[in-house]
Order: sequence, then C-alpha cells, then structure tokens
Amino acid sequence: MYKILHVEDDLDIVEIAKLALEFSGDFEVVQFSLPHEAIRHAAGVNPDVLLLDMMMPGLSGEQLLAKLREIPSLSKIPAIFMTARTQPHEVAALLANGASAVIEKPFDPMTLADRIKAIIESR
Amino acid sequence: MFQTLRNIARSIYWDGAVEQKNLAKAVKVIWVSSASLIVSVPALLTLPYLDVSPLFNIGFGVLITMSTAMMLRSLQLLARNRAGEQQTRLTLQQEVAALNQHAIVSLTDQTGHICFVNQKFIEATGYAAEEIIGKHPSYLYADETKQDFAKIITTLKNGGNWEGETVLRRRDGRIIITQTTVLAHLNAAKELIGTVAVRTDITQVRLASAERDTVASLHNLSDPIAMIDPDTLNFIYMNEAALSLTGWTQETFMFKSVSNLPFDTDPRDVRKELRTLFSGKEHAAHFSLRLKGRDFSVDIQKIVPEFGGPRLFVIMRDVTDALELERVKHDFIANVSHELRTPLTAIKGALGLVLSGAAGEPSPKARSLLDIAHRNADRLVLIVNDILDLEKIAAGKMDFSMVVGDLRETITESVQSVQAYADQFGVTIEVEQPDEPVMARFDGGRILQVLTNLISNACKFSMPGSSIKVQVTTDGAQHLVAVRDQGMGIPATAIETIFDRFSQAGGKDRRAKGGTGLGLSIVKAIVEKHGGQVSLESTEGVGTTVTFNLRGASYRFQEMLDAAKTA
Repeated sequence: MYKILHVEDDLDIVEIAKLALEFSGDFEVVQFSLPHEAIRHAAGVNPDVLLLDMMMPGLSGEQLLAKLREIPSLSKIPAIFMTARTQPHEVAALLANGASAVIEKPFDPMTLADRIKAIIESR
Repeated sequence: MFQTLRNIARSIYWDGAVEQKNLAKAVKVIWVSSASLIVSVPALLTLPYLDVSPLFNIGFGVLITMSTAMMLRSLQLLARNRAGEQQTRLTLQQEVAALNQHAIVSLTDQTGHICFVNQKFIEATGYAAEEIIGKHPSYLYADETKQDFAKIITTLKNGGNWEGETVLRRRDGRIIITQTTVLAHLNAAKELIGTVAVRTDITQVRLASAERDTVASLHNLSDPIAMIDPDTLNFIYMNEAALSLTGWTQETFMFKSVSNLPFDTDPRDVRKELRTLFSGKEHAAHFSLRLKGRDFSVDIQKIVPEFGGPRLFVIMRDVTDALELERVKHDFIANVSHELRTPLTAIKGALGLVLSGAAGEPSPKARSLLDIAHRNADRLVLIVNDILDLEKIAAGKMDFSMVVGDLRETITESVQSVQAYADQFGVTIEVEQPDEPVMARFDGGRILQVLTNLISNACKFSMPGSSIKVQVTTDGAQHLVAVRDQGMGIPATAIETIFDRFSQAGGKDRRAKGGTGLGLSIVKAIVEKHGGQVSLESTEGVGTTVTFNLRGASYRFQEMLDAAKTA
C-alpha cells in the first residue's frame, strides 16, 4: 500500500482520482485542492509519491513541487504531474525540473493506479 | 511646332519646284525679251534701207530699249530670287540639321510604308535604315500599343495631325517611350499620300519620373527602409520611418553606421547575418531583431546598381503586434486544451469507473447508455486532440524530435497498439517489411501517430474476416510505407478532398464508424513535416491503399548532425 499526496484544483477530478486509486486497493489517497494547503500539511502526510496538477490558482505545479521539495522527507520521493500540456518540450521541461513522470489528461481511471505503481517501483 | 514641321516637311520634300517656277518665269521674260531683240535689231539695221517713216525708227528703238531693259530686269530678278531661295534652303537645312540632332524622324509613302528614317531614328530604334525602310510603321509598335497606331491612322485619314505618346519596341526588344507628332501629307483630293512622324525619346524622362515617384513612395512608406554601404556599413539612405525609429535626421544619418543603431539585440548577431551577404554566396538575408523595445523582421538584399558599387537594401517590418497576436493565439490554444480536457477527464473518468463496477454493477440498460456516453466522450477527446494537433502544426508549434532509427520498430509498435482495435472489427493485420533495418530520420512518436491512424482507419472500413497489409519497401534512399485494406473503398469524387479537414467519404455508414474527419489531415501534415508525401488510391468494393514515403538516413548522418550542433 502506497500513500499518495494528490493536489488538484478540479474537485470532480479529485473525486475520480480518489475512486480510481482506492478502487485498485494499492493506494491510500490524501488530497488537497489548494496548493498552499498541501504545502502546510504535506510534512505530516509523509507520502510515498506526489501526484500534482499543473495549472492551479496561486501556484503552478512546478512551483508547488519546488516548495514541497524543500521539506526534507519529500525531497526525493517520486513526483508525477498530471497535465493536458504534453508537448515533448513541455514534458522534457517538467522532467528536467524534477518530475519522475507526466500523465496526460484525460487519463484512464482504470489504468491510473497501475501506471503510478509502475513509476514508483521503477525507481 | 506645326509651322516648324511644315518647314521641315517642305525641306524634306524639296524638289526645287519653287526655284524652277521662278526660273521658268524669268526665262520666259528673257525669251520674250530676246525674241523682241532678235526681231528688233535686224529690223533696225535694215530700216535705213527701207522707206519707212522716222516714227517706225523711233518705235523700233523704243522696242529694243524696252526688250533690253526687260531682259536686264529679268536677269536681275532671277539673280535676286535665286539668292532668296538659297537663303530659304539654307535656313531649312539648318532647321533639319537641328531637328535631326534632337528628333527621331520617319516618313511613310502613299502605300503607308516607311520610306525614310533619319540617323536619330536609327540610333533610337537600333534598326539599320535598310532593315526598316519598306516596313509598315505598326512593326515598330510594342504589342500592347498596336491599337494606338490604328487610332493615329484614323486621325490622319480625317485630315488631322496627331500628337501624343507612343511606345515603340527597339530591335533588341527594349521599349522606348516617345512624344510623337505625326503630320498627314494629303494630295489635292484630300487623300493620305504620306506621313511625317517626328518623335522625341522621353524614356529616360519617364524612368527618372518613375524613379522619383518610387523614392517618394519609399520615403513615405510606413515600414523603415534603409540603404547601407557594404564596405563601411554606413547608411546611404533612410526613409522617414527609419529616421523616426532611430531618432536621427536627414542631416545626421549620413554619419551613422549599423553599429550606431540602438539595438536591443546583440549587434554581433546582426553583423553575423550581414557577413553572409559579404561572403558573396548569398544575396539576401532574413533575420529578426529588437530595436527600442520593438520586434522587427528584417530583409536585406544585396543589389548592384548600374552605376556605383553594391548596396545593401534593408526593409524592416515591425512584427511586435503580430508576435503578440501569435502568442495570444498560442496561449489560447493551450488554455482551450486545458479547459476542454479537464472536464473531459472528469466525464471520461466517471463513466469509466461506473462501467468498471466501481460504483456497483449497472443494469444492462444503464450499461448500454453509459457505453454510448463513454464512446462519445472518447470521440470528443480525439476531436479536441486532433484540432489542437492541427493548430500546433499550422502554427509551427508542434515539436518534432527527429532521430535516425529503424522504421521497422515503429511499424511493429503501431501494429501492436492497434491490435486490440483490429480484433474488435475481426480484422487481421499482416506486416511485410525487409529483413534488413530500414533506417530513416523521423520522430518516432509522430510516425507512430501516422501509422496508428492509418491502420485504425483501415480496420474501421474493412469487412470482418478480411486482412490489412502494412508493407514497407525501400531502395535505401526512399522508403515507402503502404497500408492496404480490403474494405469498402472510397468514391472517386471523395478522393480529391480526402486529406482536407473534416473530410470524410460520405454515407451514414461511414459516419457511424466514428472518427473526427481530421485524421488524414494530420497524417498529411506530419508526413510533410518529415519531407515526405502521402497519397491514396481506392476502388469502391475493392479496398484502399494509403502510401507515404520517408527519406533514408543512417546513424552516421545522425552523428554528423549531432557534431554540427555541438560545433
């Protein structure tokens, strides 16, 4: 069982991701819809993996990751971005900035858990 | 002018008629006088021997005296008249000489053909006299102005003279523009028996005028324009917009060079671009630069005028607003991408979860309806993706990561990725490709997109139980990839537009197969970005073959490209 910290401002996607990940039975999901809330509580969550939206109010996904990386326990855990912007140069930029993988939106809820598990286990 | 021309015509047609008329008159008088003397003198000599009255003697004396006086007077008049005519002739000859010096003169005879041209005509037209004499004057007119000649003839036949501009074609094909006066030469019956055409070459005047207009237009053009001396890089000319941009004046710009421009861009980049023109290999350069906070697209052309040394002609176009518009459009597309995909993520996700039983097993009727919703959500995702792809390609924003690789690997991957889809239609996929690597420089992801699009299309339109063949042939330099199905085929009328956006061969049956109508447009755009071409052949009831080509390449080629990049 992996603990995942999911930050996403769209509440519908928050719910679908939670259902999809928990339905697999492999994940415990902790979610925030506001980046600043996530920063405030992340250290206490102590997740195994970060799943971050890219475009959010206040902070972008990249800025949020930079802030979360400042927390020692989160400095090296896998970080996955979920975004609709998946041009090769956009993906390359995210990977260069510390992302482990990029999942394209719309994602398939039935394979989401397996994909994230594979990313964690490949490290 | 007409008076002068009449004089000239008189001189040209000079046949001594006036002189002969006066001479005849004088000779007549002399003849009568001489006859009188011939009769009078012998009569006078014989009179003393005749018995005649003194009155006769006196009469004969008077007759002889008068005849002598008339003869002397006639000779005097003749001499004076001859001197006058010589003066007139001299004056006319001077006028003709002056006219020949400046005017192009030609005459036609009563048949309408050229019978005389002066030296100036020969110089201006490049024809030798023997080449042009006997020709019809229309022979000289440029094709575009032959109708002018017909108008001139009509005017002359009506007894009028014609004055205006004519455009003639020289022997070497060049055009000369002339200010022309044509005089009609009519006989007593008012029939046209010849013409005199006197022309002045105004080509240079016209060109100079056009040049002045061009310079004036350039000067007032809203785009900055400048002329640079390539040796010193000093400015030779700047229009108003260029002066306004630089803040220089007509008095000061002559002392400025390219390095004095208030660049925001690194001037070294500009000099680098200019160097390509100095190398002599290129005659034009195009680059972008920033000046005073504005973005400019710059075109430079090296020109070598007829007189003087080479010049660099610079046209700058302020593209700040266009770039901003492009950025807004790009952002808009990116935002649409995000804004459309986010709700689609929720819709697709929710439907997928319900269908998978995550919220309990739906009833068969509910499942059927959910299937419809899920399928159409998938379709909407495809449409959004395709539209965005096409926009990105059109805007040059689609990334292409070209790498040399074995095309066979991508073909195998594409077949694997559509295998499940083919199974749905009961279609088998056969692959026929060389045993040796098929090396090409391509973007694996994009060519995979092309292949999956073509193969899934073939699946959709194939009969259950039929097969699709993916065939690769190569001669090393070019690889041909063909996807052949045994489907329903495409009507001939639809083939022409099959690669257009939202084009699908008509019919309910086809629409029912789904698809966005954008797939083949994207295929075409991607293949063309690789320097290839895509074609389609189809026969209704037999099947369809879509073929595209890619250039061959080698790993060595990739190494060379990498080396060039790091150099």
